[in-house]
Amino acid sequence: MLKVIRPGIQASVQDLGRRGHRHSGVAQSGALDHYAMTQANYLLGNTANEATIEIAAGPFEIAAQGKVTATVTGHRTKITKTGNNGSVSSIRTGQVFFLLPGDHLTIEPKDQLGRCYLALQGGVDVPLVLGSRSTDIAAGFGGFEGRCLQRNDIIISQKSNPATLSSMKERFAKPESSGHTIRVIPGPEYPYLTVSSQQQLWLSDWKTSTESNRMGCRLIESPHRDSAKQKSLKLIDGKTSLSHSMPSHAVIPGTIQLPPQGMPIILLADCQTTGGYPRIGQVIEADLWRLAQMSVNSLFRLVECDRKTAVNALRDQRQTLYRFELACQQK
Amino acid sequence: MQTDETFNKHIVETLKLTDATLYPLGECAIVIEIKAEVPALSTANALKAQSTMVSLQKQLVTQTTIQGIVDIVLGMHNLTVIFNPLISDTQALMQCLAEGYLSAYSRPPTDASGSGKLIELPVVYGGQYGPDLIAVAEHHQCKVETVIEQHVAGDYQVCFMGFQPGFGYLHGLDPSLVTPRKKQPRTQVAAGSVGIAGNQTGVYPSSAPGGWQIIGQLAPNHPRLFDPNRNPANWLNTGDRVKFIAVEP
Repeated sequence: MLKVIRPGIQASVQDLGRRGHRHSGVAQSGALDHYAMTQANYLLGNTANEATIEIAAGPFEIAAQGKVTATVTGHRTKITKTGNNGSVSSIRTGQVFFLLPGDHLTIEPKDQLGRCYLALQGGVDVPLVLGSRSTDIAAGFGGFEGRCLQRNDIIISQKSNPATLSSMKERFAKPESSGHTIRVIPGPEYPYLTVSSQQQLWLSDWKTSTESNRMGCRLIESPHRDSAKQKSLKLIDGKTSLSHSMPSHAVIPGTIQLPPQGMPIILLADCQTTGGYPRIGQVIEADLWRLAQMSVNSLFRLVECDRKTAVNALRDQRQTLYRFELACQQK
Repeated sequence: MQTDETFNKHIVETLKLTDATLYPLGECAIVIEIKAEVPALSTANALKAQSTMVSLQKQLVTQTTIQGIVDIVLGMHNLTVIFNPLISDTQALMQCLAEGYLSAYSRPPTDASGSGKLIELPVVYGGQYGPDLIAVAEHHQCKVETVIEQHVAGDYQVCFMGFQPGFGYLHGLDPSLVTPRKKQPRTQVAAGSVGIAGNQTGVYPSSAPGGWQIIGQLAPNHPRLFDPNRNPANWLNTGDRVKFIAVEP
C-alpha cells in the first residue's frame, strides 16, 4: 500500500490497454511505452498486463504504508529511497527493490514527457472497467477513479505471493535505447503531399512540442521553437480541400494526421477512434513505444518503412520480450 | 506469394469491385472505402451506402474464417479492420472484405434505414453554449435563428459511433448548414457541445480537443451519453433516429 505525497505531472494507472472497443468509440488507453511496462512486470514475476503507474514528469513521491516490492523502468530517471531512519539510497532503473512502511520513494524522469513506469508486485489494484485497468483520462473513467493521481491518493497492490518475495534475486533490465528514428509506413493520403512536403517529412529533425500529451505527439521542426516560423506541410493542388473536410474514418495509435495548419500530429494511446484529417503516415507498431521516450529535448527523424519490415520488427520485439520473460523466471 | 498491391488489383478485376477501394493503414489495419465520386454518396443514397457498410461490419463480426481480427471500426462510407499481422492472413482478409462488400450491397438495407428507435436530445443553442453559432450563420449569410431552426427541423440517423465514447455521427444535416471544420482545432471543447463539421453533426459526450463548429450544448440534466458502468454504455447507437429540441438554459 502506498500514499501519494507528490503526484508529479500526469501520473496515471495504466495496463496494456482496452482493445476491441474502438467500434463503440472507446479509446485504447494503456501504457504509452508498453515495452518498458511489460519489462517492469516480468521483473517482478507479474504477468505482462498487471496495472502500473505511468509517470510523464516528476518529481513523483510516494510513502510506503506496507511492505512493497517494486521496480521502475522507462526513461532515464533519478530514483531515491529515503528510509524511515533517514538513510538515503539511490536506485537504478530496472532494479527490483523493497520498501518498508515509512520509506519514501522519489522518482524524477530526467526529461519532461520521457515516460517511466512504477510497477508493484501483484499489480495495482483498481477495478476492471470494460476489460482493463487503464485510465481513460479524456473520458474520465477507469484506472484510479478515472483521473490522474493526486496528493494523498492511496494505491493498493493486489496480493503478492510471499514465497516469491523471499526468493527474489536482484535483477536488472538494461534500458533499451529508444534511438533517434521512428519507422513510418506512408499513409493513404501521403501521395497527396507536395514532393517538397514529402521530403520535409523524411528529412526534418522533429521534436515533440510541449503541447503534446497521451492523445497525440504534436511535432515541431527543430530548430524552430516558435511555431509561427514552422514551414507547414502542404497538399498538392486539387487535393487541398482534404485538409478541411474528409469523410470521417478510423484512426489508431500511430496514425500521423495533417491538420489544416500544416504541422503533423502523431496519435498516441488515448487518441480518438475516428478523425477527419489526412492520414499522411502510420508509425509501425514496433516503434510506438519509442514515441513515449521522445521527451521535449529529443530530436528524431521519421524513416520510411514497408509493411513486411514492420511485421518482422513486431515479431522480433515479441520474441525479445518472451526471452526476457523466461530469463526473469529463472531461479 | 503475390505482393498485396498485385493481389488487390486481382481482387478488383476478378470481383469487378468498381465502387470501392481497399488500402492498408500501416501494417495492422486495412480500409475499405466507397469511392467519393460514386453516385451512392449523393444525399439521397448516402444512407444506403452507409447501410452497406453497417451490414458488412455485422458480417465480419460473425465470420470465423479470418483469425486475429482485433476490431472493426465504421467511418462514413468506409470501414477499417484492425488485426494482429502476426496472426491474420491479410490477403484472405482483403478477399473477405471485397466479397462481403459486394454481397452487402446487393442486399436490401437493414439498419441505418429509419427503423431504429427515436431519441430526443434537448439542446441550449447559442451564446456561451454555442461559441461558433454566429460564425456558422455568417458563413451561410443567414440569421442565427435560421441556423437553429434548420438544425432542429432535421431528422437525423446515427451512422456510426466514434471520436469519443458515446459520440454518434449523425446523418441528415440540411445542406444549407454544411460548414467546414475550424482551421485551427480547439485544444478543449466542453462536454455536451453540439457541433457541425462538413456535412456531419453530433454531440460531444465529454470535453476533448476538436475542430467542429460548436452551436449549442446538451441540457445539463440529460443522462450522460456514455456511462461505462451502465448497460448499454452508449445512449446513442448505430441505426438510432435523433431529433434535437431547443430548450432554455
